[in-house]
Amino acid sequence: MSLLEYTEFFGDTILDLTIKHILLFGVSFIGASILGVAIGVVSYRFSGLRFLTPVVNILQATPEIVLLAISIPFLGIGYVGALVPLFIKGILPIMQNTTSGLAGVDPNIKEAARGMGMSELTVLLRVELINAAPVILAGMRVSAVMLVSVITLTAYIGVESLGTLILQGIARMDANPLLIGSGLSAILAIAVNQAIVIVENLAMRRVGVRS
Amino acid sequence: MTSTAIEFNAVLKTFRDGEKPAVDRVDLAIEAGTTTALIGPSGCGKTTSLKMINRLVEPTSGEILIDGRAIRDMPVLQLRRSLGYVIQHVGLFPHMTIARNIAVVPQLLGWDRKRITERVDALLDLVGLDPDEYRQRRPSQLSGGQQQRVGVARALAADPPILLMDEPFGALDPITRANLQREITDIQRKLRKTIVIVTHDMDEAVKLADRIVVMEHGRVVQTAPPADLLLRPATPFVASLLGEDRIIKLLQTTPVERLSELGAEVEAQSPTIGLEASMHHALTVFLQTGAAQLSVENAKGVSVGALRREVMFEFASSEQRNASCA
Ligand SMILES: Nc1ncnc2c1ncn2[C@@H]1O[C@H](COP(=O)(O)OP(=O)(O)OP(=O)(O)O)[C@@H](O)[C@H]1O
Ligand SMILES: [Mg+2]
Repeated sequence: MSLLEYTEFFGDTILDLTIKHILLFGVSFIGASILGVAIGVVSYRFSGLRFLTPVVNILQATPEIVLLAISIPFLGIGYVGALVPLFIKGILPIMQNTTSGLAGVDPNIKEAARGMGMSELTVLLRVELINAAPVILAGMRVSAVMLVSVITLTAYIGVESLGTLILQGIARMDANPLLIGSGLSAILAIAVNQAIVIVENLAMRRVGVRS
Repeated sequence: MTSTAIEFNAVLKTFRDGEKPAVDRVDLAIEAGTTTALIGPSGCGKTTSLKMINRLVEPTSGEILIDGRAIRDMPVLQLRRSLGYVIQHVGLFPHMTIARNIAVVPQLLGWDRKRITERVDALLDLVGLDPDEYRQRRPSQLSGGQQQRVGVARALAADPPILLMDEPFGALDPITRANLQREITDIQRKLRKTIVIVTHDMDEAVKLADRIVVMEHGRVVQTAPPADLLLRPATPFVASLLGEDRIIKLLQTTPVERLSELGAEVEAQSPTIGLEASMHHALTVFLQTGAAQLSVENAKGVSVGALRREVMFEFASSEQRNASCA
């Protein structure tokens, strides 16, 4: 079967798997973003949490497939077992960039904000997070690109995604599904990366940083 | 009629246990409607003193009163919104337009939109920036001097009776600096605020302040009006801050009126000088014309008396003696 014939024959499956892949990505990325920013804010405000840094660094350095393997005995096979480790990996860059982005905001504008009588929450929402946005978005981009590609690995523990095609290709020594699966996930990764770059540039313009 | 706007009672601040205090038992009374300059070398506690007034820094001991009330007992956000604050490095919000920067405190106070818009335009006018041109710009599209003007406008936004300014003209070239100083003097003439300004430029302090507070190692070493300070520096340290040209500064702060003999006969064709001019200006005229006396005129250009060169020399040399025995 040629690549074209394969695509025609399995078109519905490919579409279905692509949608599932995007959904998996969307859920894990949104979740990782919310949690990452939240944890990042907390660890910026409470410097007492610095002792967690080595733990974060070890997690960061652990390959995704190892995390997946470790999670199976605890979380079982399926969505939970697949999503939790991805989540953890996805959170880290966002969290780290949130903390360092907030810490990097010009101390003079933080002081001006407090000195003019903004509450701590207003300072955080209206001054600090906005000015840290380019750095936070850069963290989100790292996370997003990583998530799009590592979601393929979840096929190993029984979650359908573009990874399923790749796995099939390997198992049957068939180049067609292998090419389609990896090609589509590469295209997704590039698209996601570009989309966030655009948002990042807007944010940089907003806070007066030249890219 | 005068009343005390800000009062420091034995205010002490130690940042870390066992360290030398950054501000050491400072007592200070600042009258309403006056400009007070805090001056002293880097690290002497000027900024810390200022930030204790809006509670960005809390004193270790002692208390600060505003209009007779201990600020410790006031709600902190309300206190800060009632004080204008110009921070040491401007600190405009880069993500907001100039208009929104200025509108921050009015917005926090819940003013309606129309009132805020009008206020922003009035303030831009006041600090010499055309509202139509600058309203919608970003801070990054302004020069350093323009940013400092906006910093001042922002502090004035909600018309606070007290204005705290930390080196508001810090990193400016002498010309822009002089312009802004003149504008502050103008604004002060119109608005009669209680201003506390931190500076380490003695010329600026002499020009702007009604009283100068000299600090060294966290302590207040002398508090006096500029002329008194120039005449009688309390310590060699104060004298060194005043600089070699102390006499010149003194002439700058002394009006011609003080040394002229009103009603005295004037030789015909004497050069003229205004009653309100500074003695420094008079010195320039003496030097340029070689005259022995000047005809002193009032605002209408009518001669009202004479200023003799000898009087000026006597004044200057007696001040010199004062200084050397101080
Ligand atoms: N947040 C802080 N933590 C610890 N020490 C501080 C802090 N702020 C100021 N200090 C110390 O307190 C002293 C007074 O500082 P302050 O900023 O009041 O000086 P300053 O007179 O404003 O100096 P400059 O003219 O350089 O602005 C300095 O020794 C400084 O190191
Ligand atoms: Mg300072």
